[in-house]
Amino acid sequence: MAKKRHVTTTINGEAAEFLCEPRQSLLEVLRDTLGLTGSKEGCNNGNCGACTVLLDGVPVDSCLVLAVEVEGAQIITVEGLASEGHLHPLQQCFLEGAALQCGICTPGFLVTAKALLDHDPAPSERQIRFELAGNICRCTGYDKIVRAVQAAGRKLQEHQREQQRT
Amino acid sequence: MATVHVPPQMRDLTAGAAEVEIDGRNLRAVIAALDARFPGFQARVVVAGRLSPGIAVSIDHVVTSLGLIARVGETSVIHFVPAIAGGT
Amino acid sequence: MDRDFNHSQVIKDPADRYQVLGTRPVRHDGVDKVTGRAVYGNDVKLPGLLHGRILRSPHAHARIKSIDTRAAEKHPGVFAVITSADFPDLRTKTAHLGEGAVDLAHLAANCLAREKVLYRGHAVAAVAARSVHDAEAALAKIRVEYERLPAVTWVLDAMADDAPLLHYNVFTDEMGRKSAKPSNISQHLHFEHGDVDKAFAGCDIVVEREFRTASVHQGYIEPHVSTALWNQDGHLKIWTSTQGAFTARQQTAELLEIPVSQVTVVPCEIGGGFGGKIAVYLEPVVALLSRKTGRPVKIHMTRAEVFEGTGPTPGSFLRVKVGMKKRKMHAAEAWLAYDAGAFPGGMIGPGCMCVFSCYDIPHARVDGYDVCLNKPKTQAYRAPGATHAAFAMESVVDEIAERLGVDPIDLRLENAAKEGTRRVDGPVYPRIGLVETLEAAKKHDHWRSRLEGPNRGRGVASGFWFNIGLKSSATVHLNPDGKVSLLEGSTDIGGTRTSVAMQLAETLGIAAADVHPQVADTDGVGYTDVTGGSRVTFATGLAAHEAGKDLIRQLCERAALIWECAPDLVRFAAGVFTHAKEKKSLTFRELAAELHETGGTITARATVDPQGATNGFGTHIVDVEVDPETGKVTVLRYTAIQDAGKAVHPSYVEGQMQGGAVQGIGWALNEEYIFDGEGRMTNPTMLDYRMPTALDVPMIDTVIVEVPNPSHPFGVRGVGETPIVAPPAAIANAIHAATGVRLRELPMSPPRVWAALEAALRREE
Repeated sequence: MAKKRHVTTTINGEAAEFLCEPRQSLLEVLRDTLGLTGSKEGCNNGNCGACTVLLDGVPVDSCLVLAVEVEGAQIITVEGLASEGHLHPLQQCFLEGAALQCGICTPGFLVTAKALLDHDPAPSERQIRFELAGNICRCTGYDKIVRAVQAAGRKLQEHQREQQRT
Repeated sequence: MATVHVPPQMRDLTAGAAEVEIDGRNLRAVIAALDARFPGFQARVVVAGRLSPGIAVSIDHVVTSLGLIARVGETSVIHFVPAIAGGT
Repeated sequence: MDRDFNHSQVIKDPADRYQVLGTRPVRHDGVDKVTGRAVYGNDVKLPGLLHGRILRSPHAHARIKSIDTRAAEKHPGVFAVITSADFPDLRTKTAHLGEGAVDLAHLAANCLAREKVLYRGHAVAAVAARSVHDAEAALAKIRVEYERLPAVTWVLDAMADDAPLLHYNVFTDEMGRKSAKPSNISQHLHFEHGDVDKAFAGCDIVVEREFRTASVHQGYIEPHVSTALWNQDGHLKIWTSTQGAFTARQQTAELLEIPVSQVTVVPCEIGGGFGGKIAVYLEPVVALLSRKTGRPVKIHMTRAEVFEGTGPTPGSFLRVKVGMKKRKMHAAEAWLAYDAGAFPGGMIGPGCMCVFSCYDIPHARVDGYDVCLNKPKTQAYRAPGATHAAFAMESVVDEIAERLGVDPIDLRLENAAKEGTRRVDGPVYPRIGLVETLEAAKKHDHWRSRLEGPNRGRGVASGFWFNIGLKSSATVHLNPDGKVSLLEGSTDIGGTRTSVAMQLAETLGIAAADVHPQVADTDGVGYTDVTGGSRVTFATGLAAHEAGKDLIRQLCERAALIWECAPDLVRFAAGVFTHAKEKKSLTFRELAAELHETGGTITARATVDPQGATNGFGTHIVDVEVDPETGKVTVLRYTAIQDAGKAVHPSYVEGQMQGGAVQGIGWALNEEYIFDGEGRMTNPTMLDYRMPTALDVPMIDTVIVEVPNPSHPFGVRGVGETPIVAPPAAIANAIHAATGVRLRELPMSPPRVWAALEAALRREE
């Protein structure tokens, strides 16, 4: 067994550090070492997206990222979406739109959708479906998820317009 | 008299009869009465004192969950059907 | 793809006067689930936790000659290794599991193989170690000596007289009569009414077709996971991903031959089940590892293990024959062979009962066979057995409509099952909603609109599922601020905590947000049957309603105490208690505030075992486009119409319809277990076992038709399973409309569609 490595990184805006074996994935370290169990293991080989986190703003399957790779990076997990006690508009729209049933895929969808809306707050339905194609949901059939992302995009644009006015 | 619809696979016991009139205040009594008239009937549908696990009984077109103590009315209609499994 | 059609409609019952039912509150567990706080099985952590892994058979069929675990036991970090030798040796025992029986010896052997391995992926041994990586490394040190046997993975092959025999002690059962010789055919069912042969002879048109379907997995995103702590006081506690804590408890207790009262099962939040998380796999294994090590032990399956080691739905062969007298179905016959998988007890019963269940056919005959073969033991998958049967029957109905020149919805309307129609297995329907769904389909914009463009076609199909009742319990406590705690035992797979809480709120005349629902463990609430069979909103909702009535009765007694009058002078309506003779009243909240000073809090409870769950019918319409160069089928537009009785929370009813439809689309177009010549699944990953992604499907429009169920106080019918029944047939019919070619094998994947189109072209030349 190789010696553990020391990694320093930023997770959800906070400085974080941990020890890990070189063979451990980021998913494993987030869940087992750091107690951030919001990211889920669905397949462990990069096909379902339940483990999605943002790595320097880009959605990645954390089961395909080695923990040692995140030295110096900025990571956002589902635990970092709400801020100062307020849900992110995506989280709010998922709830109001009933865009989850069992909820296991929801963290992955929220994180991926956040990256999409950060980049483009008014994506078309097709763009949303394309960007979310790496997140598999077995319960909802995707309809309400797509609508929730559209609704969240509209909310974010509204916030932006309000902020521009003030 | 209650009417028992005999499943096709059990008509070997009833000399081909598809419907049998029988009396009994509950399912246990009805099956016992059937067994008295058609020996071997009970062994086919009752295992270790309970309804055979793969078999359900509908009384007046509703599957009963009470097993052998389910009440049978004077003009009830009884069917033996496979027990259902479901998933969601 | 960016067009929005009709989205969703609810066709309400005009007599509906509900305050809470039919609204769309945010679900009570919602915030936890969107913040990552909800605790699923793999999120459970205990001090001293050990991690396990399972060694699985590489062979589809083999005798186990020996298992040597000594080297594995000595591997660094390993605390224990077990095999089936650590299980009690059960004589053939059957536990009544509420949703169908199981042979316990078979269930135990499926958890850890005894004598033989019967499918690739069959569990053989289990290791508990300090880490998953240590456990994984130790597996490689377990030495198993196998004597390989020929394997069989196609249902018809397994029925042949010379097929490799899986069990020497399984005989063909025919309603209690057993065959003389052992067989892979564990059950033969036969139903008949009328005079079928004579009826066929009198028909104008007879259509007879054969169909095949492949093994398909439930595909839940969360793998199976269980943690057990067998404590030093002998009590066993299990945290697990399960559709039923009580059935998991009973199965585990029976397999380990310990009293049920010695076991507590905590149902974690569940990441999907669809019927595949009812039978236990891991619970007894982690229990034994915990007992051996004195530590808590967790096993979380890998995705490959889920595919290779847990139940898919049956693969099947079906032959359906229907005879018409003018436009009326006059005679019908079906011959069905369904996989049971490695052990007997598959879904042939429901398959037989569903195949003709949408229609009124005076003369009908069905033969069904449950067949053992070298695949994982089949498990329920959302309306188990019905989708296969509907694929066959609805394709034949479509073909008949075309031959007669009749609109396919009209043909169904003219032959539809109604209240009073007799099913082929005997019982007669109560009030049902098939006709209403067909009429709604006929009126829908989707059916009426033109579909333009080459290689495009529209299909329609109907589907049926039974829905069940079974047992549920509920306990209700009243808080001084008028809010109510509800303890119930139904794992929340799709928002049912809320639909159940809403029924309690409606009963009490309070807001849904004033009910705090909780899914309790097996010590915290009374016996409750599984979350399955489309039963929770119906049966657990009924339990909540009955507990609500009990609460009101007790509150009336308390008001009587406060008002110093007889309890029968206290009335309750619209959330207010009033004195029948004097001008005195208390709102629910006001009375709750008085409780502590007038004798203490009030607890109410109910246990129900309702009959009359009745049936669910759906009609689906789909438009497809077929690419002739690749065989790829694109779903352009989809509408699902279903009778829901009373849609308690319409968003979650829509969700069930949309989710079931998309599972059906996957089943229709891509999903299958691909076996090699050695009986090994070659595609046990989510890349190659191809479930639909967001890019594969359009919006799924829904129409909920409310035809109240007379057996439920709020008219509720179960809705969860019916939506998966119609899609493959609807899509097959649409492909035919688009191309003129009928596919009769699932999945209708691009290579198959392409080959069928090519064959048709060659026939034309």
